[in-house]
Amino acid sequence: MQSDQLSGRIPPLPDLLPPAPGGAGASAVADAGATAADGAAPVAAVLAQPAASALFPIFHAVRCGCWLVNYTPTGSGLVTFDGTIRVECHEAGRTASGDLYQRPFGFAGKPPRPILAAPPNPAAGIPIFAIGRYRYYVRVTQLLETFSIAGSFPLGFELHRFDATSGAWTNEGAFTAQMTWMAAPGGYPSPGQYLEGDVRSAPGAVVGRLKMGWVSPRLRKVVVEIDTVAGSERPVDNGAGLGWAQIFDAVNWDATIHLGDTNVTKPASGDTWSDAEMHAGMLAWRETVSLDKEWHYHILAVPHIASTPRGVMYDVDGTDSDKVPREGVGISTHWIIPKTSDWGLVQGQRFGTAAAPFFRTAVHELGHAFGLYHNIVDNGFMNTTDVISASATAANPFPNNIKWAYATDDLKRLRHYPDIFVRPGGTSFGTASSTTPAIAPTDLQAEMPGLELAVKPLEGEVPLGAPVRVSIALRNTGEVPQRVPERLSLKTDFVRGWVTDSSGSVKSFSPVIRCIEDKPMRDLAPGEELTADFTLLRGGEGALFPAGGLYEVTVEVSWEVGEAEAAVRGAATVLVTGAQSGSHAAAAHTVLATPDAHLVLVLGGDHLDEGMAAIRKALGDEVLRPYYAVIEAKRLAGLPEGKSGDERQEIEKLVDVAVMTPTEKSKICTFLEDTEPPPSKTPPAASKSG
Amino acid sequence: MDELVGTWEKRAGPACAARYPRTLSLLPGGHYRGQADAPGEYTHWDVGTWRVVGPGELAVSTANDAVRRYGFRLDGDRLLVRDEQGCEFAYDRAEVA
Repeated sequence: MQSDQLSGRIPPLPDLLPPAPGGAGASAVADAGATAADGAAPVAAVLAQPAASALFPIFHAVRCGCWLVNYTPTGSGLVTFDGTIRVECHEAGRTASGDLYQRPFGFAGKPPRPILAAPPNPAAGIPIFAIGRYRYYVRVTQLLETFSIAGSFPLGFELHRFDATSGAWTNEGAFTAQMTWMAAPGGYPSPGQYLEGDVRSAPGAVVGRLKMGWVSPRLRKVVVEIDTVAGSERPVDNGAGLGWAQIFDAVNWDATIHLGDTNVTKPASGDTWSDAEMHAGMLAWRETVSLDKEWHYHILAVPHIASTPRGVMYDVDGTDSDKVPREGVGISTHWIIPKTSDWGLVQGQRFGTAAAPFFRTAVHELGHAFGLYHNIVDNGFMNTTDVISASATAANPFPNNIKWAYATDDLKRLRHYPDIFVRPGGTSFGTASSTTPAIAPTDLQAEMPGLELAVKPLEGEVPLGAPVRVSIALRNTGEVPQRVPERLSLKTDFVRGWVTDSSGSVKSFSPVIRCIEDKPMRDLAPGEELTADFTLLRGGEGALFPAGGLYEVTVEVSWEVGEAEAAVRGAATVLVTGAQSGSHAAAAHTVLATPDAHLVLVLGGDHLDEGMAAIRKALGDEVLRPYYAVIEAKRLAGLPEGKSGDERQEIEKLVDVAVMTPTEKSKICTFLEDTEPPPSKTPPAASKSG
Repeated sequence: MDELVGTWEKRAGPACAARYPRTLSLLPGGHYRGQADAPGEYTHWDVGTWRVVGPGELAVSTANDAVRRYGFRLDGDRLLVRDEQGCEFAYDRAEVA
């Protein structure tokens, strides 16, 4: 049902790379990639090579399986990418693809200097990288197909950059690298299978260095945990000798099947589990896992599932309780297979006892968790049970007509889809997510362990049209002082953020004006915190809270450390309630549709006529008045007559009802304390003269 | 149920309807096939089963195998559908060549 190129939303999968005409002509069978010295090269292929000048030439081939890769662009010592390249060998040639994750860096020393984290250990086999570090899909377009007596070969590839914010991919172009066999550094399991080469852009400029060493005959590495409710069967095989090991052998993945708990209990009574209950069950009963360190999928077998008869990949979106998609699937054991001819040999059976369709459903749902969709090209794993049973005949009844394999195109997807579509916690099922994983930092941004940013809205619920006031606290939770900005404010370059609505749409906010030319820093002692607050109404893409609903406000504090950037983020949610009256709706409409209203908020002043008119309309509405009162109070305080009795009393009235941040309150209080309170109503002129 | 059998083309609708297929073929045996706006793209109704479960109510299996309920109304050759989130969209019966 799907093509390999989804309308430009994902990079195209790699093509099969057939042997070059006139080449060695060897069929690259299962593991024919090793050097002749490794003893894995077919003899006929070796003998077919032309004689080399050396007496005992060494024949090289790119070994099938997973290679640990490092790509370091030219020009920055702090930006480097680790990842894998998967080399799949067919009789007709090879297909290869890869993924790159940016290696994190931190700071050490005094003054602090950025340092790169340690590289992956090649002795550990197929590496797993943190989801948030995902950056590139590598589509290999040229690879040594058979054998070479030369010490190098050209590797061609495209780099597709992934933007986690929008879920979009950008092809950064075609690159080539003349890869040369070298002795592998320590730790690589196959010392002869290590390559390095300069990477050149299409015009021929050197843009980086690529290193790759073989680490495993498998392509990907996963863990599948199976937990069951008491009385529910475990899906372990098809009753005819085909189990998980054979399933993953066919895909060429390194899979660990963990048969876990058999006594999972349901939080509420009854035998029928909702999707939410299965998700909660997974979180409660699953082993402690970090999806940044392990691709861990969960199967839960329960008596009945509310949303479907047989099985479901319930974890579609990152919108559930842990905001992580595609971690878990559910399969039912007590569904009774209908007594109709479609169901052939298993009609009337309890599903958990019908080993073949029961196990097939578990494999099918897990396929959805791997990012696969339904596929009706054959009766393979990703077709639906209904379609397969309906296609059965008396001569070939269900479940005998099940094809115990993934369709060829699905096999290719499992081997060559970008990691972010396959791994649990990557993008949502069916679409690249705009919210999960979190917005990717820039390449030169480092996370700051030991610093936390707490974000707290002044009010958790605000009416439509009201600005959202937020307090932030940057706290040193570590044991050593941390160098941080001296002051946090939306008027500095240090603070920015974004607001995400319930549909995943993101709008950013950043300083409207920048008041600080230099960027003073200070040491933040352990346990100490730096606080600030600000008011949000509008960002570069328009109103930040344009409709009722739940919003997540994320704030990022970042600052430069040498050529790198340190960053700390925090987030909180705000509920915007709908219009409460016609007056409220009209005032909210005006404020939200008037960009200058935000400038009045930030700058004050009477010169922004449209903005002032919008603020006045908000002040005239009883719902919005408290949220804009302090703005009017500040405006009045800034007027020459602000210190007069009448204006001062007006300011005091506004302050009485105003929703204010601590900073706003402090400023207004300072103003009121600095001006003499009138003993009685005093004419403005008298006040001025005083 | 028979009156729903056939091929349906989605009319222009709200953004929330984008995940539903452009072309929907409701087959007589209770199976269906859906085709997205661009061939091969993801669609919430890709392959599965459908049945009328009550007056104006459909049960349709979806791309992740969950069976969901939908309100529907047949108005001549127009099929109006409302999903559980309140998203409303419509299909017109495709002309038979």
